[in-house]
Amino acid sequence: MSNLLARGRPVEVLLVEDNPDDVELMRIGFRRAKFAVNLHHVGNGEECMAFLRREAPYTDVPRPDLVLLDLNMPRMDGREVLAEIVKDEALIQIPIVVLTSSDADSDVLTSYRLSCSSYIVKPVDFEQFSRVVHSIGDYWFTLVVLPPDA
Amino acid sequence: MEGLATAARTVGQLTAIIDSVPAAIVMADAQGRIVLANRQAETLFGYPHAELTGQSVDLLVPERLRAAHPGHRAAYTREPNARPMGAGRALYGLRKDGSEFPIEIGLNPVDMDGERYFLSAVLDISEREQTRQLRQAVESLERSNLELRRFAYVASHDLQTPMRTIASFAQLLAATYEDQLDAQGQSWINRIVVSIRRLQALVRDLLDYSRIDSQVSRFNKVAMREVADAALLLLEDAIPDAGAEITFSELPVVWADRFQLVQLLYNLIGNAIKYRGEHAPRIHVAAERQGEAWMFSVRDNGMGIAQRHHERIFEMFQRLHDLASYSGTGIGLAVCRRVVELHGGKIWLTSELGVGTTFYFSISDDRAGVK
Repeated sequence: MSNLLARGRPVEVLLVEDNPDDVELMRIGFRRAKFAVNLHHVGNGEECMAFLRREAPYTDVPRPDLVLLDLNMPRMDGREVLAEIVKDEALIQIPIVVLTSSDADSDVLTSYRLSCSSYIVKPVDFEQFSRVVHSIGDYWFTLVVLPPDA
Repeated sequence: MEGLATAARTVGQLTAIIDSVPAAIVMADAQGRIVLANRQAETLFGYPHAELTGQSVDLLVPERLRAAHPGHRAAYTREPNARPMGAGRALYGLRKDGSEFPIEIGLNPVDMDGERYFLSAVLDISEREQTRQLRQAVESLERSNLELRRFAYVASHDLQTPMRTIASFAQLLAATYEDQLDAQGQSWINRIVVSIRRLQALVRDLLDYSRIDSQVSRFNKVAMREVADAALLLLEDAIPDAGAEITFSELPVVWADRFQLVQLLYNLIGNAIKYRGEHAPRIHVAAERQGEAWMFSVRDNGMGIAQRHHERIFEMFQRLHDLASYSGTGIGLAVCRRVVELHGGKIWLTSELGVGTTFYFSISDDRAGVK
């Protein structure tokens, strides 16, 4: 039983995000925060499910320690991803943090009902963005204890 | 001789009866010649007594429709049955003075002495038409209002993402290439960041405004004192910063959407603090029963608002100050007005420059009056 950074390997984070600008900001945010993170990226819910289930072309990917999930995406959105994961024995223990521009009550409620671990509204600029990335790292990588490596 | 006198009397009686029927009655023969028109018909179409008899019924049909009329008549002559004429179609009558008016016609074939006649009862439906058109106008206005609000919601929501991107990369640029940018370059980037912040505030407020309508109101019993406390919590920084003192009379429980009322009081109290006068803000919130409604007041000792601005301050994006003096988006009071409207009430103010302002709003107690 230990926190992620104490496991002596980089933390595997899957970012599910269709906006390339936000992907870039997240990459820079993690790099500057100096967390030992492998940031993986997929662009929609379908790719996310394939990644988590290690279906082609994601047969060699690690199992993520944390998923950062956007809600509004093409093809399969974040709500559908949550609904899918909650039904899947093999995936349900992965913590999912919803990271979205929507602060609508209905989205927050839906996400928690579908067992997301946290819900974060995307910050409005980079300064706040950096703070959010730090908080995510401090909380998920160092503070909480997560399920053991498979 | 006796028989003839009786017959004449009968005809006289019949004519009197037909003339006193409240509908306009026109009878025509198979060729479309008018053989009988009662007083109502003469009045309706604006003809002197007895002038219609012997004329073609086409005289009463607007010229633009006249060409088709003999055709319609012929078709009806071949297959006559009692029916309302032109069901589902707009029919018009033509007055002697050339003006047109919407009508409804009931048509009946009548056989007399081996001849076929057609009896029409004509009804002027101008008033009904006007009501219908008015209702249509109101409906379409409501629809376009709703669409506008939906548009505002979608637009403001979708604008957030590119704004975040611009703000973030401008900041990154400034922070990362600080050494390579001279003061001029730094200042330009700063202008971008400041403008984006302002844009973000605008869009956020716009989103708040459109949300009032795009999200379903949830009406409940709401204690106004709790609403006020929630609003104060949102102002917990502004109140000590301004040294503001806020007091309350006893506030009632109303039938309302709690979230919307918090927005309302937050905006009103927030404005009272923001647009303060020379002294520290003293703000008092009170309520007074007025018939079926509660009238609330938010009184301050602020700078006051000139009478000529009392209407426009409730309009979207209307501001009385430049950005350098007071930041803001000009949406707060528009939100207030919309919230009060949705609660079946009104919002207004009295004010004296340099002395203070009191905003009043009413919240209807009548649940049916709530929109």
